[in-house]
Amino acid sequence: MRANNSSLIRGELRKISRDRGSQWLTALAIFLVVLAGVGAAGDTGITQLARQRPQEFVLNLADVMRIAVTTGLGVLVLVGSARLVAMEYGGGTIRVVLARGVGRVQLVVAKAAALVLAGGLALALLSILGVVLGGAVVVKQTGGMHALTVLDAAAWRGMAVDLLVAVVSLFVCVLLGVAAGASRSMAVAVAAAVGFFPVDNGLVPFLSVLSDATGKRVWNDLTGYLLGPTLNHLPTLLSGRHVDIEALAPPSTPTTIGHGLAVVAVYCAVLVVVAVVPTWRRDVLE
Amino acid sequence: MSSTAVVPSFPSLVRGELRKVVRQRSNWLLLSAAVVVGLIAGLVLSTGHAFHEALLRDPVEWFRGMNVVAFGFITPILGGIVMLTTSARLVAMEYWTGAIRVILARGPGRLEVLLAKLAALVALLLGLMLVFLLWAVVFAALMAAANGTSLAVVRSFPDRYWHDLGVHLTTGAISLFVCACIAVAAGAVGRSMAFAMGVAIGFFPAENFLSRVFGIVSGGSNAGFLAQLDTFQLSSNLNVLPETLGHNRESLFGRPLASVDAVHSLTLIALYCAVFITAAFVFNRRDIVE
Repeated sequence: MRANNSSLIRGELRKISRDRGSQWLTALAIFLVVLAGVGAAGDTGITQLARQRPQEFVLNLADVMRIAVTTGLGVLVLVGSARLVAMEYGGGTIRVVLARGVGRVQLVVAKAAALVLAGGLALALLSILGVVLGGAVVVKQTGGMHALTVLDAAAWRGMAVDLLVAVVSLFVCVLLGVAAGASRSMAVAVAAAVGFFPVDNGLVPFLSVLSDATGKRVWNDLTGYLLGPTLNHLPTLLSGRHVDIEALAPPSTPTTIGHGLAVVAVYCAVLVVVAVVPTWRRDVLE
Repeated sequence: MSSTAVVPSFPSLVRGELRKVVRQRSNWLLLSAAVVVGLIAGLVLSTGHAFHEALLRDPVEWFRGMNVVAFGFITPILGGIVMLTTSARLVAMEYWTGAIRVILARGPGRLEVLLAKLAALVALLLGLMLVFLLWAVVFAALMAAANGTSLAVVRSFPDRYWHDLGVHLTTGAISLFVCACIAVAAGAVGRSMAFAMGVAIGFFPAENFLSRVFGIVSGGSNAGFLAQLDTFQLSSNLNVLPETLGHNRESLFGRPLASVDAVHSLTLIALYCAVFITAAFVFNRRDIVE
């Protein structure tokens, strides 16, 4: 009997939930969010800001918690996706799965769907944890929840945009991990998945140095086409909120919402092609 | 008929590990990519008008800048990536493929195998330093020739230049050694390719990211708890090492939020290395079930 799509997705979800590596990565993501909360609660440097400018304090805190949630989730999803795809080739189990009549592309799509579902659940849990810890920090630093009542509509909209960007990041991370897994080598898959965003973000200061040294703007303009910096800058673009210093490197050239979304869409399309075409065309020799 | 199994000697184990490093195609790909990326960056930088003027106006300063690019930038980043991935793979691959059982069945102990891997990685470290040194010499010679001067000018350089070069070579080598320690520990503790590669590639970005978050949470203050905590991060101390050891330039990468001196940085780096190596040896004692 051939496995249908829903049973394939259930099977992949079972692999994710029973995998010790995924459990450790989930614990790491939770630890990261807790660390951000504890760090913000324990730091006396921001107490003054909390008392004098409560709205700015809450927005800074929301930024920190958002970064902790998206980073924890990003690591979890990137490594989890790369592993889930590459492990079948490394362990040779891909032959067993395919022998049951499942198509190679069908399997990859089932894996991606399972990863989006599992990632969505992880995002929901981490977001709830982030909100609870953020509330605790507000109470600790200001003595009550009064700081939340002074937030204007734009601030609340900004936080909703943060959540939307987290969902977009989740999709991008799943695609990136699955595309890396298409290399069929665990070492390459995990290295590519973990290393992509650090390299991408690291290119911003590097290209800025090149731009300054050569006096040519083209190097700076290139940063507008990098995926990581574009995703970092998306909350600011979508909410229209001015941020003096963004926590994660934005492009060093001004960009618009349309440009940012187009860059993310093009990267997603390329990642889908990278994930699907080699899987579809190459025979399984592993 | 009797047969006596010959237990491989330590030098032959090291040779075997070196052979694995040399025959791994991805290592050569990474190294080639590192050299090419460095070359492209250097060539792009050299198209600036200021670059040409600096070489003719103040050759000592220009060559100091060259040291910063070669040993403060290319060696720790590109060489570091090569060292991290090669080391993680060298240790984890035996468990991932099950080859560790074949090696141990021939007689050497687990400790001996790990020591042989470490020795091979030290040889790789020296080789990488040599490659990047050669890269810097060839690139500097070409640039000097293209700008109407020659490499011979370095013979008249003052002592401070050579001291500066020494500082950069030392910090580059320390950086590569730390990379090897992290990756070997990740491979020995996790015994899984995914874990080893994940930790090896993710360790420094995670630390740098944490440092940035500490900076934002503490509002840029260098007196708070988080700023003090940041001075105990490995990457921040490695980044600032050339400066604290006597180099007069600002670091190219993230600095600790509070100031540190050379003794603090060196002690901390040594401590981290000791922890990594101890972890590798302790976890290496576990039974092989892979």
